[in-house]
Amino acid sequence: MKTPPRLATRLLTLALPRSRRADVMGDLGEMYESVQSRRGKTAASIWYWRQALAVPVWLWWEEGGTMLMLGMQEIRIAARSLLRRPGFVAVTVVTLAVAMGANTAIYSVVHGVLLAALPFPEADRLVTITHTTRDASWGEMPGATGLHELYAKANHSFAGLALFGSRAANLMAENRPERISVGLATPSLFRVLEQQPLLGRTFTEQEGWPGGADVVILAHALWTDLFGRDPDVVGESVRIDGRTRKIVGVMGPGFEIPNWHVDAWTPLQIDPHEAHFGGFNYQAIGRLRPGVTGEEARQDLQGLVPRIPDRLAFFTQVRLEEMGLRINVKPFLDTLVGPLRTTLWLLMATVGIVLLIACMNIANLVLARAEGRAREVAVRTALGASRPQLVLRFMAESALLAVAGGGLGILAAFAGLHGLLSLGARALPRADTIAINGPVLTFTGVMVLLVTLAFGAIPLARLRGGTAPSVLRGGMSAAVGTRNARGARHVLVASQVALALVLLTGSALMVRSLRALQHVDPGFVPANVLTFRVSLPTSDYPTAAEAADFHQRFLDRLNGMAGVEVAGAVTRMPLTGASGFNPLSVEGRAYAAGAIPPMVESRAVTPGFFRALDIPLLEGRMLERSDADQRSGAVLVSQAVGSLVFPGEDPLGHLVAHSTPNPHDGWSRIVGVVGDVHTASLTEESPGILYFAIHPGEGVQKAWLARSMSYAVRTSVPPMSLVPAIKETLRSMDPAVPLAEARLLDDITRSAQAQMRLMLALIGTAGSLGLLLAIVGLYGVISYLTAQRTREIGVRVALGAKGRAVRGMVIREGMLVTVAGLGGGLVAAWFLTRFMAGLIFEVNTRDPVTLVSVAVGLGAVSLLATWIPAARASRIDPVEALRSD
Amino acid sequence: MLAVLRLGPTAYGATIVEELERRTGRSTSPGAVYVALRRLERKGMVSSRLGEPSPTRGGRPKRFFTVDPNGTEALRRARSAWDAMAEGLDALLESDG
Repeated sequence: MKTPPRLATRLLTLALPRSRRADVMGDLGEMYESVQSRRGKTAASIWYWRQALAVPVWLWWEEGGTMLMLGMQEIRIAARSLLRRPGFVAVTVVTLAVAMGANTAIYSVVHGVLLAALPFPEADRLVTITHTTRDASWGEMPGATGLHELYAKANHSFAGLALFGSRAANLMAENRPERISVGLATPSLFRVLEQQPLLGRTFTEQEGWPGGADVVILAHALWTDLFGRDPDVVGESVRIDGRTRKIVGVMGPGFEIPNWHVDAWTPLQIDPHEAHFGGFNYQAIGRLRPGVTGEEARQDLQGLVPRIPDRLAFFTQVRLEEMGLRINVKPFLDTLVGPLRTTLWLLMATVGIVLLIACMNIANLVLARAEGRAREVAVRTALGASRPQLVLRFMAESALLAVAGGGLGILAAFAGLHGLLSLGARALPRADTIAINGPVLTFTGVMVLLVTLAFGAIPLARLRGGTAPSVLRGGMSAAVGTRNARGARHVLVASQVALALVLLTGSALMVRSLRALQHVDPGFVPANVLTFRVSLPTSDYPTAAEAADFHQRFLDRLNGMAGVEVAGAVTRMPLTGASGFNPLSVEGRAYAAGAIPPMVESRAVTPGFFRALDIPLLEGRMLERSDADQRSGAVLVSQAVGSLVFPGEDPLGHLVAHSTPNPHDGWSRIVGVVGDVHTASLTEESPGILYFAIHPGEGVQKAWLARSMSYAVRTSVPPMSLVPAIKETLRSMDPAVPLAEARLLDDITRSAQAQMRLMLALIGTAGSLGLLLAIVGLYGVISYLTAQRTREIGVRVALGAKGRAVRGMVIREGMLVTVAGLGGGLVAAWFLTRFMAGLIFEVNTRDPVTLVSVAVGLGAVSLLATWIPAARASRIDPVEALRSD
Repeated sequence: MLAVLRLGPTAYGATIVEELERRTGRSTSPGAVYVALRRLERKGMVSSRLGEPSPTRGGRPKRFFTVDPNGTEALRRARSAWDAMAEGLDALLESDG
């Protein structure tokens, strides 16, 4: 027999449906011979290959059609069967909807913030550059103007490097001042991000040098609001902070650096010859060359560090070595969302656990039904139902439940996401990419699929055990009572209890953290204080003295207003962030050649500020206006400066200076010590703070002070009610100066706690859900298993067992399971809670008190859940019991 | 079905395809034939049975097809319908052919 091509034959063997394999291959073999004798070997081989490819497709198509029809039929049957048990369906679908909805909502946050690609071409090649030193208190510092040029010119790894930052500014629009956010960027930024403007052009290199033209690029939103999308806007001018700038370009609507909302861009002008090393104020971003890794780039830049002293006076070789300056290169996405990664995945894990618990509950229910249907399955098998048919039947039911749960879950997720966003998720970085979109729905679909498979598989696995004849003969209890079934159930419930314990421990840790946070003294009294910001344009108030003068006059008028108890101003309000980190020099104290002086924050203040916020004066005196006439300026220090810089001594009377002492800058005398306040957050230590007067001494050069101040007004009436009057006062003094960010100091303090509250709300809800599901599960299983033992109990009672003994028996079973679960849960919590370390405050993740109390609490509730079925069991009438089956 | 009928006891996949090709003068796709037979079988007009392993085909059996009474009935009805509709049109049909 002439043989057909072997490869094609192999293909047929694999591809044909089993039932037709033998006869079809035989037929094709025959036909091959016939074709070969008629048309020759080559033609026959070709023919055979064609059949090898085509015939399986024909047959499977036909097969698929049949299966599809069968499938539809099974689904209809499954639907009818489910409708006959509305209770089971309702519980299952609702449970699934809640669990899957929570998972979908959290995943949409995780996806939008952590996983979705940044809106730039090849965004994975964008990296940020930061600096760290051996002294951990310096933290992670961003880019410095002084270093930018060195990096940009001498590196081998980057296709482009840029610096950018932002600040608030006044825009004059139709003679009304508006507060906008202005981005400063080196001209290279647009190249690094590979973004083209919608109109006009981006900055030229010359515009990045000092003395470069006053130009501005508008963001799309500002162009829309201010110019109504006028296509001829390029060449027009706008006044920003008193300077007239020419519009050279407009960016497209998609141009947005996540978390950096700006209304317009101006060039960051760096004088390459005069650079301040201390100015780590701008984000340094770069685009890696193709094929270059982050580590290679890091080493490249690190190799440039020894060249820093050639360019910058402050950092000598010795100082550099002492500092141990280290370059870090991280993906841009990491910089944006890195700190949140742990938190968000933790949340994901939390709702994942809730889903697991929910699924276990449903698994128990499904198991119960499966056992009840053992007979049905046995009959069907005996009548010739094939395995695939049975699989299809069970899968159809679980698919319907899973799809219904998933569908409702998606609806719930929309609502849940809305809630999350309003609760504070909107403040998350990249919050605008959070949405229930394609990838998120795919995730939901995968969940639905897994749930379907899991639940469909349970009855099959369970029923593979019993053979048909024995099931048909033995009646329900025989099938139900097998060891395996009970064991599986016990394991499921114990696992639920364990998981619930983990969730509840997490919740308890959050509760304790929030309580601790609420007890942190911010250092001031926020009640009844109104805050707002006033910024003076450079052009109208060119000198520091003029600016300080304006603020002083405004304060005088405020202090005279009805309803105002006291008003003061400071460059930055507490709890709104750290600022002005610089090294502190003390006169008469020489630091060793390589040593770095301690870093402190600085603020400019008016005396009223401390009174308005009720910050106590601990020593010495307050700053006064007469201090301005002294040769040496006077400063106040916070208590922390005392312990940091003058341990064991009295700080009063010492002369200090901020940043490099320099014959042109004067020294200032410490005249008073005030109470500490928290600046960055409630959880971080209060830093050392130097408080300068807004009218510094003549000898003190402080050009950066006082242009933009935050005001604090303690009122005797509801604070917000005074806003209109204050605005009017300001306007009467200078209509070009806007009043911005009017809010209560109470709100600022509250938002410092906001993130923890949000986490507590989320984890707490998950914990409660988990608890509810686990307890319901425990109750359900104990009830069910006890009901199955009705006969046995009846016999025992008839033989003389007392009600108490019966109760004890049931409770023992329930509590054994619970204790096993608690044990497992404690072990799991011991290992897993360390992931919460970043979230909690002043609690140990392995705090034994918390763990034990939660375990005891859960155990008590479980006891209750077991007690009820036990009590029922103890009242079983033996006659009734023996009669039933 | 006609081919199956004609072939009688020797009607199986390969022969059916061959018969169709011979009678119609056109090459026939075995895949299409298998599908058609399957559909007929599901409609109850044709039935099949697997024969003994055949030594000439490397041990692979033949699947024999026979026309069921339902099928024969359907063929008869189709035939008379054709006759009824085509009555008197012989001249036209011939001249076009």
